Amino acid sequence: MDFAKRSQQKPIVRLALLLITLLNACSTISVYDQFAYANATSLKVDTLNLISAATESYDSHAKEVADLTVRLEKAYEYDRGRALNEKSVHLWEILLVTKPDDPNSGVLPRFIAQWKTEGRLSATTVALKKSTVSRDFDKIIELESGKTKS
Amino acid sequence: MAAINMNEIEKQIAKLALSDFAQFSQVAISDGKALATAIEQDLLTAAAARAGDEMTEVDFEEEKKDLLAEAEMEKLKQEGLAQVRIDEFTAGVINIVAKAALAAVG
Repeated sequence: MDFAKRSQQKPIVRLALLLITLLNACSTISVYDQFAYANATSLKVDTLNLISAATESYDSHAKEVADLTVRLEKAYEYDRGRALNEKSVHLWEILLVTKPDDPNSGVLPRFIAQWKTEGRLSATTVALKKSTVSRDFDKIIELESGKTKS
Repeated sequence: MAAINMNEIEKQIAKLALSDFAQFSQVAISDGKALATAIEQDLLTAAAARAGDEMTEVDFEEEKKDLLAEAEMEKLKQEGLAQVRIDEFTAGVINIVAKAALAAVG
Protein backbone atom coordinates (compact mmCIF):
# COMPACT_ATOMS: atom_id res chain seq x y z
CA MET A 1 0.00 0.00 0.00
CA ASP A 2 1.57 3.31 -1.02
CA PHE A 3 1.54 6.51 1.01
CA ALA A 4 -0.96 8.31 -1.27
CA LYS A 5 -3.56 5.56 -0.80
CA ARG A 6 -3.05 5.50 2.97
CA SER A 7 -3.54 9.23 3.33
CA GLN A 8 -6.75 9.00 1.26
CA GLN A 9 -8.19 6.27 3.49
CA LYS A 10 -7.69 8.14 6.78
CA PRO A 11 -10.68 10.47 6.44
CA ILE A 12 -12.90 7.54 5.45
CA VAL A 13 -11.86 5.54 8.51
CA ARG A 14 -12.36 8.56 10.78
CA LEU A 15 -15.76 9.22 9.24
CA ALA A 16 -16.81 5.58 9.66
CA LEU A 17 -15.75 5.60 13.32
CA LEU A 18 -17.55 8.87 13.91
CA LEU A 19 -20.74 7.53 12.32
CA ILE A 20 -20.66 4.32 14.36
CA THR A 21 -20.20 6.38 17.54
CA LEU A 22 -23.03 8.70 16.52
CA LEU A 23 -25.38 5.80 15.79
CA ASN A 24 -24.74 4.27 19.21
CA ALA A 25 -25.12 7.61 21.00
CA CYS A 26 -28.39 8.39 19.22
CA SER A 27 -30.34 5.30 20.39
CA THR A 28 -33.11 6.15 22.82
CA ILE A 29 -34.76 2.72 23.16
CA SER A 30 -33.55 -0.88 23.25
CA VAL A 31 -33.55 -3.06 20.15
CA TYR A 32 -35.84 -6.08 19.69
CA ASP A 33 -35.17 -9.02 22.00
CA GLN A 34 -36.45 -12.45 20.95
CA PHE A 35 -36.34 -13.83 24.51
CA ALA A 36 -38.40 -10.93 25.90
CA TYR A 37 -40.91 -11.34 23.06
CA ALA A 38 -41.21 -15.12 23.67
CA ASN A 39 -41.63 -14.50 27.41
CA ALA A 40 -44.49 -12.07 26.88
CA THR A 41 -46.37 -14.22 24.33
CA SER A 42 -46.03 -17.36 26.43
CA LEU A 43 -47.07 -15.59 29.65
CA LYS A 44 -50.07 -14.07 27.91
CA VAL A 45 -51.45 -17.56 27.13
CA ASP A 46 -50.75 -18.88 30.64
CA THR A 47 -52.22 -15.81 32.36
CA LEU A 48 -55.42 -15.92 30.31
CA ASN A 49 -55.77 -19.64 31.09
CA LEU A 50 -55.43 -18.92 34.79
CA ILE A 51 -57.98 -16.07 34.64
CA SER A 52 -60.43 -18.50 32.98
CA ALA A 53 -60.17 -20.65 36.11
CA ALA A 54 -61.37 -17.81 38.34
CA THR A 55 -64.99 -18.97 38.08
CA GLU A 56 -63.77 -21.86 40.26
CA SER A 57 -62.54 -21.58 43.86
CA TYR A 58 -59.32 -19.66 44.45
CA ASP A 59 -58.00 -22.27 46.89
CA SER A 60 -58.02 -25.01 44.25
CA HIS A 61 -55.78 -22.84 42.01
CA ALA A 62 -53.55 -21.17 44.62
CA LYS A 63 -50.45 -23.12 43.55
CA GLU A 64 -50.95 -22.19 39.87
CA VAL A 65 -51.30 -18.55 40.92
CA ALA A 66 -48.02 -18.74 42.86
CA ASP A 67 -46.18 -20.45 39.98
CA LEU A 68 -47.41 -17.96 37.40
CA THR A 69 -46.55 -15.03 39.66
CA VAL A 70 -42.94 -16.21 39.84
CA ARG A 71 -42.73 -16.58 36.04
CA LEU A 72 -44.20 -13.11 35.53
CA GLU A 73 -41.69 -11.63 37.98
CA LYS A 74 -38.83 -13.33 36.10
CA ALA A 75 -39.98 -11.80 32.81
CA TYR A 76 -40.26 -8.38 34.46
CA GLU A 77 -36.79 -8.70 35.99
CA TYR A 78 -35.35 -9.72 32.61
CA ASP A 79 -36.77 -6.60 30.98
CA ARG A 80 -35.58 -4.46 33.90
CA GLY A 81 -32.04 -5.60 33.23
CA ARG A 82 -32.05 -4.39 29.62
CA ALA A 83 -30.60 -0.96 28.87
CA LEU A 84 -32.86 1.77 27.41
CA ASN A 85 -35.93 -0.32 28.18
CA GLU A 86 -37.93 2.02 30.45
CA LYS A 87 -41.16 1.92 28.41
CA SER A 88 -41.38 -1.90 28.45
CA VAL A 89 -40.54 -1.95 32.15
CA HIS A 90 -43.26 0.61 32.87
CA LEU A 91 -45.76 -1.52 30.91
CA TRP A 92 -44.88 -4.58 33.02
CA GLU A 93 -45.18 -2.46 36.18
CA ILE A 94 -48.75 -1.39 35.38
CA LEU A 95 -49.59 -5.06 34.96
CA LEU A 96 -47.65 -6.47 37.94
CA VAL A 97 -46.81 -3.82 40.54
CA THR A 98 -49.34 -2.11 42.80
CA LYS A 99 -48.17 1.44 43.40
CA PRO A 100 -49.74 3.45 46.25
CA ASP A 101 -49.77 6.62 44.12
CA ASP A 102 -51.50 4.90 41.17
CA PRO A 103 -54.73 3.07 42.09
CA ASN A 104 -55.05 1.66 38.54
CA SER A 105 -51.66 -0.07 38.61
CA GLY A 106 -51.08 -3.72 39.48
CA VAL A 107 -53.81 -5.13 37.23
CA LEU A 108 -52.89 -8.75 38.03
CA PRO A 109 -52.28 -8.41 41.81
CA ARG A 110 -55.64 -6.62 42.04
CA PHE A 111 -57.27 -9.49 40.13
CA ILE A 112 -55.67 -12.12 42.38
CA ALA A 113 -56.73 -10.24 45.52
CA GLN A 114 -60.26 -9.94 44.13
CA TRP A 115 -60.38 -13.70 43.38
CA LYS A 116 -58.96 -14.57 46.80
CA THR A 117 -61.40 -12.30 48.64
CA GLU A 118 -64.52 -13.35 46.72
CA GLY A 119 -63.55 -17.04 46.48
CA ARG A 120 -64.76 -17.28 42.91
CA LEU A 121 -65.70 -14.66 40.30
CA SER A 122 -68.71 -14.38 38.00
CA ALA A 123 -68.43 -15.48 34.36
CA THR A 124 -68.96 -11.88 33.20
CA THR A 125 -66.21 -10.54 35.46
CA VAL A 126 -63.84 -13.25 34.24
CA ALA A 127 -64.69 -12.61 30.57
CA LEU A 128 -64.07 -8.88 30.97
CA LYS A 129 -60.84 -9.46 32.88
CA LYS A 130 -59.58 -11.76 30.12
CA SER A 131 -60.47 -9.18 27.51
CA THR A 132 -58.51 -6.35 29.19
CA VAL A 133 -55.53 -8.45 30.30
CA SER A 134 -55.24 -9.91 26.79
CA ARG A 135 -55.00 -6.40 25.33
CA ASP A 136 -52.55 -5.39 28.11
CA PHE A 137 -50.19 -8.18 27.08
CA ASP A 138 -50.66 -7.21 23.43
CA LYS A 139 -49.25 -3.77 24.25
CA ILE A 140 -46.10 -5.29 25.75
CA ILE A 141 -45.80 -7.65 22.76
CA GLU A 142 -46.49 -4.94 20.15
CA LEU A 143 -43.88 -2.62 21.64
CA GLU A 144 -41.27 -5.40 21.66
CA SER A 145 -42.06 -6.52 18.11
CA GLY A 146 -42.04 -2.90 16.94
CA LYS A 147 -38.46 -2.37 18.11
CA THR A 148 -35.64 -2.32 15.61
CA LYS A 149 -34.33 -5.77 14.72
CA SER A 150 -30.56 -5.58 14.93
CA MET B 1 -12.23 15.84 -2.30
CA ALA B 2 -15.44 16.83 -4.13
CA ALA B 3 -18.12 18.99 -2.48
CA ILE B 4 -20.92 17.23 -0.61
CA ASN B 5 -24.25 17.52 -2.44
CA MET B 6 -26.37 19.21 0.25
CA ASN B 7 -29.46 19.52 -1.95
CA GLU B 8 -29.55 15.79 -2.50
CA ILE B 9 -29.10 15.17 1.24
CA GLU B 10 -32.02 17.48 2.06
CA LYS B 11 -34.25 15.76 -0.51
CA GLN B 12 -33.45 12.30 0.83
CA ILE B 13 -34.01 13.33 4.47
CA ALA B 14 -37.37 14.90 3.58
CA LYS B 15 -38.38 11.71 1.76
CA LEU B 16 -37.29 9.60 4.74
CA ALA B 17 -39.24 11.78 7.20
CA LEU B 18 -42.39 11.62 5.08
CA SER B 19 -42.34 7.83 4.74
CA ASP B 20 -41.30 7.09 8.36
CA PHE B 21 -43.59 9.44 10.25
CA ALA B 22 -46.63 9.32 7.96
CA GLN B 23 -46.79 5.55 8.35
CA PHE B 24 -46.27 5.80 12.12
CA SER B 25 -49.06 8.34 12.60
CA GLN B 26 -51.48 6.19 10.56
CA VAL B 27 -50.78 3.14 12.74
CA ALA B 28 -51.08 5.24 15.93
CA ILE B 29 -54.48 6.62 14.83
CA SER B 30 -55.69 3.14 13.98
CA ASP B 31 -54.49 1.79 17.37
CA GLY B 32 -56.22 4.68 19.15
CA LYS B 33 -59.52 3.93 17.41
CA ALA B 34 -59.25 0.21 18.24
CA LEU B 35 -58.56 1.05 21.90
CA ALA B 36 -61.56 3.40 22.12
CA THR B 37 -63.85 0.77 20.59
CA ALA B 38 -62.60 -2.00 22.89
CA ILE B 39 -62.92 0.15 26.02
CA GLU B 40 -66.40 1.33 25.04
CA GLN B 41 -67.51 -2.26 24.41
CA ASP B 42 -66.15 -3.56 27.75
CA LEU B 43 -67.58 -0.63 29.67
CA LEU B 44 -71.05 -1.18 28.16
CA THR B 45 -70.85 -4.91 28.96
CA ALA B 46 -69.74 -4.15 32.54
CA ALA B 47 -72.48 -1.53 33.04
CA ALA B 48 -75.14 -3.93 31.74
CA ALA B 49 -73.80 -6.73 33.98
CA ARG B 50 -73.80 -4.42 36.99
CA ALA B 51 -77.36 -3.27 36.25
CA GLY B 52 -78.45 -6.90 35.95
CA ASP B 53 -76.69 -7.82 39.21
CA GLU B 54 -74.33 -10.21 37.39
CA MET B 55 -71.42 -8.19 38.70
CA THR B 56 -70.71 -6.80 42.15
CA GLU B 57 -70.02 -3.10 42.70
CA VAL B 58 -66.43 -3.98 43.69
CA ASP B 59 -65.91 -5.96 40.47
CA PHE B 60 -67.38 -3.08 38.44
CA GLU B 61 -64.97 -0.60 40.08
CA GLU B 62 -62.08 -2.99 39.39
CA GLU B 63 -63.09 -3.16 35.72
CA LYS B 64 -63.02 0.64 35.47
CA LYS B 65 -59.52 0.68 37.01
CA ASP B 66 -58.39 -1.96 34.49
CA LEU B 67 -59.65 0.11 31.58
CA LEU B 68 -57.85 3.21 32.87
CA ALA B 69 -54.68 1.15 33.27
CA GLU B 70 -55.08 -0.08 29.70
CA ALA B 71 -55.33 3.49 28.38
CA GLU B 72 -52.10 4.32 30.24
CA MET B 73 -50.43 1.26 28.73
CA GLU B 74 -51.49 2.28 25.22
CA LYS B 75 -49.94 5.71 25.79
CA LEU B 76 -46.67 4.10 26.92
CA LYS B 77 -46.65 1.72 23.96
CA GLN B 78 -47.14 4.60 21.51
CA GLU B 79 -44.38 6.61 23.21
CA GLY B 80 -42.06 3.62 22.90
CA LEU B 81 -42.91 3.08 19.24
CA ALA B 82 -42.36 6.81 18.58
CA GLN B 83 -38.88 6.46 20.13
CA VAL B 84 -38.19 3.54 17.77
CA ARG B 85 -39.23 5.69 14.76
CA ILE B 86 -37.02 8.57 15.95
CA ASP B 87 -34.04 6.22 16.37
CA GLU B 88 -34.63 4.75 12.92
CA PHE B 89 -34.99 8.21 11.42
CA THR B 90 -31.73 9.35 13.07
CA ALA B 91 -29.95 6.26 11.77
CA GLY B 92 -31.42 6.95 8.32
CA VAL B 93 -30.15 10.55 8.37
CA ILE B 94 -26.67 9.41 9.42
CA ASN B 95 -26.72 6.83 6.63
CA ILE B 96 -27.67 9.46 4.04
CA VAL B 97 -24.98 11.88 5.23
CA ALA B 98 -22.39 9.08 5.39
CA LYS B 99 -23.09 7.98 1.82
CA ALA B 100 -22.84 11.57 0.59
CA ALA B 101 -19.61 12.18 2.54
CA LEU B 102 -18.04 8.93 1.38
CA ALA B 103 -19.00 9.74 -2.21
CA ALA B 104 -17.31 13.14 -1.86
CA VAL B 105 -14.16 11.61 -0.32
CA GLY B 106 -13.98 9.33 -3.34
